[in-house]
Amino acid sequence: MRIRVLAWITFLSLFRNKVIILFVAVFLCIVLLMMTPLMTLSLTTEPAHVQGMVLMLLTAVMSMVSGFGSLLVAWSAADVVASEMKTGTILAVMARPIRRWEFLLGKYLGDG
Amino acid sequence: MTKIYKRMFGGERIEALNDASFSVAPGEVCGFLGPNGAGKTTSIGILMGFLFPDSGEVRVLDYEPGDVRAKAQIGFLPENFAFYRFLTGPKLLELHLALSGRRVPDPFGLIAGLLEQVKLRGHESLHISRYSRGMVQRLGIAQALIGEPQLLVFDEPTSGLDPAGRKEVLDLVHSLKEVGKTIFFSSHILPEVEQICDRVLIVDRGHLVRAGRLDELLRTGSRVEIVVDRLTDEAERAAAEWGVEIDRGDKGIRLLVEATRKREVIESLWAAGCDVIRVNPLRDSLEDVFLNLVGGGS
Repeated sequence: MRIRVLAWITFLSLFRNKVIILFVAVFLCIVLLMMTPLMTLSLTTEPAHVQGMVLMLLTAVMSMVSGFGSLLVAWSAADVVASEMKTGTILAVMARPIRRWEFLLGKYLGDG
Repeated sequence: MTKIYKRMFGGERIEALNDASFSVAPGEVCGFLGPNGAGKTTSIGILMGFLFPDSGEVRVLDYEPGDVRAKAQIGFLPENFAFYRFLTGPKLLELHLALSGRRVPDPFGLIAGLLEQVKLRGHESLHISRYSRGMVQRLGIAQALIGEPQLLVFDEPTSGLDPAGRKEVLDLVHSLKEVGKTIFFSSHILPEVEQICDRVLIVDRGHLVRAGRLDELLRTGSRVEIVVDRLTDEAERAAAEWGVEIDRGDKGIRLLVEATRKREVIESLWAAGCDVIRVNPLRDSLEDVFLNLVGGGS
């Protein structure tokens, strides 16, 4: 129960991190830009060509997700405990009947 | 217990605590005093299990510090309390209720009651980021109380507050004292400690320099103060003959005399036409005791 609560508050905190919000916004913009070739398609375009283009875009987006996602997780995970120590929020949380490993596991799950 | 902070490179050592030993009895309000850097926050960190002592033995409610069974019975308010600022007060209390593991049939009723107790009703929808310092501190006290603790540990609960905020927090501590909670709190604001504490521990540069009941520390001296509304020339001459110390302040004229001579002096004052407003035994203030022990420097 406590681990779940910690994971949830960690998850909520991530969306208050301006760097992470910026990261996600840039990622979405790049994905949208990548979709622009789809606008050149018309009804007369050959299905094989459309299929090829969609497959290519999907591959590109998936690699973007994988690359950006890893960076995002690494960025947020690096800060997830340190920021609690820096702001002092960890003191009130660790004063609760929580073991250190439970706190770390909650942070890990919330960030993952 | 002893705690030494060491720098990994350079070999610098700071003795934050040196063989400090104390205990707090159930139901007692114990003030932990000391100048800045005396070791108060380090001691509290050790009690809460955040820091490990280099030597010595510490027991909190019969458990090791940091044991979840002990922490379940402690309400803690850290110095410079910080919360998840994007939450509202009730949401934060919900979070701490869940973390405390306490099961209550009506959590929302409990939270509303606590907000009422700390005078935060009416601000339920306000994010903590918009709270004033006093409101944050009162919310901190509410979160400390949410697990129905036996022991309350407050680290500098009034630091950084204006006089009104300080009074609100002290009133809260007073009300907790009345319901029989054990309270251990650190402070360097002495008059407030004098108001609410049963016992005082004074720490300086890591050493516990004094521990005892407040009434023992502030022992009554051998002199009394006699406050009069005015002093006639005749009385002033007589006072000079008796060797009485005269202090003319805003709150009246104080004559400081040996307790054995007070009757004689009061009768003479009356005979000389002076009205005696009050007679008090002179006590050391906590500030006097503190400054004597820590040498007036912080």
